[in-house]
Amino acid sequence: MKTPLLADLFKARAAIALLAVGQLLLALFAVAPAIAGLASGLGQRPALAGIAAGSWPAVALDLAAELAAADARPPVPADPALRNVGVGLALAFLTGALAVVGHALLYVFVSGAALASLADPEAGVWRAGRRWFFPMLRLSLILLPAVTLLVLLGALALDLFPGNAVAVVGLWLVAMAALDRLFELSRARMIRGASRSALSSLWAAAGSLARRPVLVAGTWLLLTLGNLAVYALVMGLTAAIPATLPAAAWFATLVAILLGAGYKVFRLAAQYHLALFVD
Amino acid sequence: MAGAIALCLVLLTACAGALPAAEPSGARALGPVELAQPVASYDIEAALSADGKLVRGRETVRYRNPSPDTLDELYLHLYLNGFRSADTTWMREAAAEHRGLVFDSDHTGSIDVESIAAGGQAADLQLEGDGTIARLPLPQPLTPGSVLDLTVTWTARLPRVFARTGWAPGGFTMVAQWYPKLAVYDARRGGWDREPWHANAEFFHDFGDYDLSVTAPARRIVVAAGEPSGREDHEDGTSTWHFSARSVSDVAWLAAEDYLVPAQPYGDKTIAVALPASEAGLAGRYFAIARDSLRHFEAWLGAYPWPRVTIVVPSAEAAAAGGMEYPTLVTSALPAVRSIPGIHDVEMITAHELAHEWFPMQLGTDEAREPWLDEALAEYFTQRLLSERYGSERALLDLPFARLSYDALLHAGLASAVRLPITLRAWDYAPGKYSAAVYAKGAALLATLQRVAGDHAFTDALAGYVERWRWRQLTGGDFRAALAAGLADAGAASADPWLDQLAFGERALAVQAAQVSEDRATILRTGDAALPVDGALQLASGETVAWHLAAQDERLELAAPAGQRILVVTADPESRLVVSTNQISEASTGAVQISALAGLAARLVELAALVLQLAGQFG
Repeated sequence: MKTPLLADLFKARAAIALLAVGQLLLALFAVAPAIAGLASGLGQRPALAGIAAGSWPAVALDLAAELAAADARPPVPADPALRNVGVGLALAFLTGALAVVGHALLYVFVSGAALASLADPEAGVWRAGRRWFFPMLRLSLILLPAVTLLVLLGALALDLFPGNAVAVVGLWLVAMAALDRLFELSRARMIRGASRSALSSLWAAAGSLARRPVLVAGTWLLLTLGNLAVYALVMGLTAAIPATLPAAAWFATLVAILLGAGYKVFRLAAQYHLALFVD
Repeated sequence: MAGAIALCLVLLTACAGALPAAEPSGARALGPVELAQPVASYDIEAALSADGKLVRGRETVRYRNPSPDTLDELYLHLYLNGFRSADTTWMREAAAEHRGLVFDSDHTGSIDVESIAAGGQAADLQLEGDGTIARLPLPQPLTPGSVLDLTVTWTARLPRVFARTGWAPGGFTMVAQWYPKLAVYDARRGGWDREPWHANAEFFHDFGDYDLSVTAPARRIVVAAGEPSGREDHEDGTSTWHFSARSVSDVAWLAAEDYLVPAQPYGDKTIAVALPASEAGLAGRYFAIARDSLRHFEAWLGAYPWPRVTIVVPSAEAAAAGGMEYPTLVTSALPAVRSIPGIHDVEMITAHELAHEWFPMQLGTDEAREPWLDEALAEYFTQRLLSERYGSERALLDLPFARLSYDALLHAGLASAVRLPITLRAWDYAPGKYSAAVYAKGAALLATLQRVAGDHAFTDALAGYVERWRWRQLTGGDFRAALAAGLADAGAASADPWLDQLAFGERALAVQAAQVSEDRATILRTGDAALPVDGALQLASGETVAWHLAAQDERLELAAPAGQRILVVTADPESRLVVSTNQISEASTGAVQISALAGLAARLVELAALVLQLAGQFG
C-alpha cells in the first residue's frame, strides 16, 4: 500500500464530515414528525419520561389501548391531544422513507468524492462527487435488484427450512455482507480504473475476487468484523448512557453518527488499496 | 449487523445478573392439602400405533353418584369428535383456527366407541349433536352415593396436531381430549352438563384417581400426567409405560421420539421437563420458572397437592400442542427468540399454565359457562408472578432499550373488550373477543382489586376461596361470596361495586385530568363506572397534595393552595387501576418536559441514523 489508511481518512475528512452531517440532518428530518407528535400529545405527561427510559413499548400499547377504547360503544373518550402522537408517528413513516432515499443519494455522492480524493488529493469534494455521481448511481441501481433478490431468497429459505432458522439467517447475513463488500470494491475499481461503466467495474471487482480469493475474501472478512465491532461499540455506548441525561444522550448520538460515517469511508479507502494491491 | 445487535443485547442483558429469590408478596404459611374423595376414577389401557396417529383404548370407569338425585342416565364427552370435520360446534366457533394455525381438514380426528357396558351389562351409547356428547341410558337407576363401573373400548384417530392434540412430523404425538369421559352431574345446576364441546372450553369434570398404561413404539418416550410407575419392554418393539394420579380431573400424554425428560427435586416433589433432545440446553429455563411459579403460587394459594409436575415443550413442528394445562402436566412452548434472554415468553406461557394447576385443576369450575373463573385467575397470577420476578416494568420484556410491563399487555387486551362483561359463556364472545375479555380484562380487574384491597387481604381472600372450594364444583356466585367474606374478614373494601360494574356489567373506568393551569385543575370522569379514584397534585414547592374522586362524583375541581403553583396532576399515581382504559390521560402537567423530550429526541435520531446506515450500507 502506498499510503497508510489513517492518512487516507485525513484526506477524505471532508467526505466524512459531509456524510456525518448529512446523516444527522436526514435523521432529524425522518423523526421530526414523531418528535412533534410526542411533544404535542405527551409533552406534559410523565409517560414521555417513561419512553426515554425504555418503556416505549408499554406507552405505545397504552396509547393504542386508549385510542381503541374511544371506539367502544358507547365510547370512552381519549384525550384529543393523544391523537397527535398517532399522526406524528404515521407521518414519520413517510419522512423516514424519504430520508432513506436521500441517504442513498448522499452515499452515492460521498463514495465518489471520498474515493476520488484518495486517487487525487487535489480533487475537491464537490467536484469529485458531482463527476462520479451518475456512474456510482448506476452501480447502486444494479445493486438494488441484487439486494431484493437476496432478501427474497432469504425469506424463501426460512420458509423451506423452518427448523434451521439460525443457520439460514447466519448464511443470509454472510451473503449480504459479501454483496456489500463486492459493490464497495466495484466503486473502488471504478475510480481506480477511471471507468464510468458500472458493469465493467463490477466485473473487474469480481475478477479481483477470482484472481486473489484469499486476499480479497480475507480483507472483506476483516472489514465486516470491524463493522460489527463499530456497531457493538455504538450500541454499548448508547446502552451505557440513559436517555434521561439528554446532553450525554446527544453526545452518544453524535459519536455514533461520526463513527458510522468514518468507518464507512474507511471501508472505501481499504477497498481502494485492495484494488491497487490486486492490480 | 443484526448479529452485532443480537450480540450486544445478549451481553447487556446477561450483565443484569441473576434474579433474586424474593419472598412472594402477601405470602401465607403452607398447610397440608387433603386429596379429593374420588367421584369418577379411570383405569385406562392405551396402545399407540406405530405411526403415532391412532390410539386404541380400553377403560374401566368407577363412578360414584355424588348427588342427592337418583340417576337413570349418564353422559359422556367424546371431545375428539370436535375435530371430525370443519362443521362441528368447536370448529364453527373457532372458525377452524386456533392461535393463527389452521385446521388441516385432510387429517381430522375422531373417537369411535366400539363397546360399552354399565355394571357388566352391554349398554347403548347414543351420540347427540356433533358427537362430542353422548347419552348412556342405565340398565338400573343409580341411587345417591352408589357406585357403577363402566367398561368402554374405543379407537381414537388423532388429527395432525391442532388445538393442543395430535401428531406431527418427526415422531411427535400429543394425546389429549382422547378418551370417553364422564360429564358432570351437578344438582345445583339442574342436572347433567350436556353441552357439546365448545371452543375455549376444555374443563368441567369430576375429580378422581387415574391409572394409565400406554403401549407405544419403544423408540418413543412416553410422558403422562401423574407419576410414572414403571415400564416394560416387549419383544415386538413396543414398551408399556405405567402412570398413576390421584385427585385429578383429566389425563393427557406425550409419546415422542428424540425427547429428553430431565427431572429436578422441588422440596418433596419432582419437576420434570420433556423437551426435544436438540433443545436440551433450554431445560434450565423451564426448571427455573417452574420452581418460581410453584413457590409463589403455593405461598399465595396453598400447597401444590401432587408429587410431580411435568412440563412438555413441543418441538417446532408441533407448536400447536403448546400452551395448555392438564392436571400435573402442562405444555409450554419454545422461545420465539432464543438468543435474547430478556424476552420472557417462555416464562409467561409456563407460569400461566402452571397457575391452572390451581384454577381449575383443584377447583371444579365450568370453563364453558364461566371461563373467567379459571382463565382470568390464571392470567392474574401470571401477571403478579412475573411482575414480582422481574419488576413490574420489566415483567415481559427486559432489553437495554425496551422494557414492557404485564400491565401494558393487559391494557392493550382489555381495550377491545371495554364494554364486554368478563362473565359470559365461552361461546357468547365474538371471535377475537374471548381472550380480550376473559384473560386481559379479567386479570386487569383482579390486579386492580389486589392493589385496592391490599396484597395480604386479597391474597388471603383468594386462598380462603381455594381452601373452601378445593375438589368441589362451584359457580361464579360461590367465588364472589368467598371473596366478599375474605375481604370483609380482613376489613378491606368490598369488591362488589367493581365486580358488578366491570365484571358482570358493561361499564368502563376512565378518568382524565383536564383544564390544568398553575392554580386550578379539573378531574373529569370520562368513563361511566361509578368507582372511587385517588390522585395527587404535585406543587412547584415539591409538596404533594392528595385528592379523591368519590364513586358518585363526575368531576372534581382542584385549586392550588395559596401562593403555590401546580406542576403535575396525577390520577392513580400508584398505578393501582390496571382496569382503567386510559392509562396515559390519567396524568398531565402544566409544563412540557423539555429534558425528557430532548433525551427522547436524541434516541430517535440515533435510531434513525442507524437505520439509515444499515439501509445505506447497500447504497
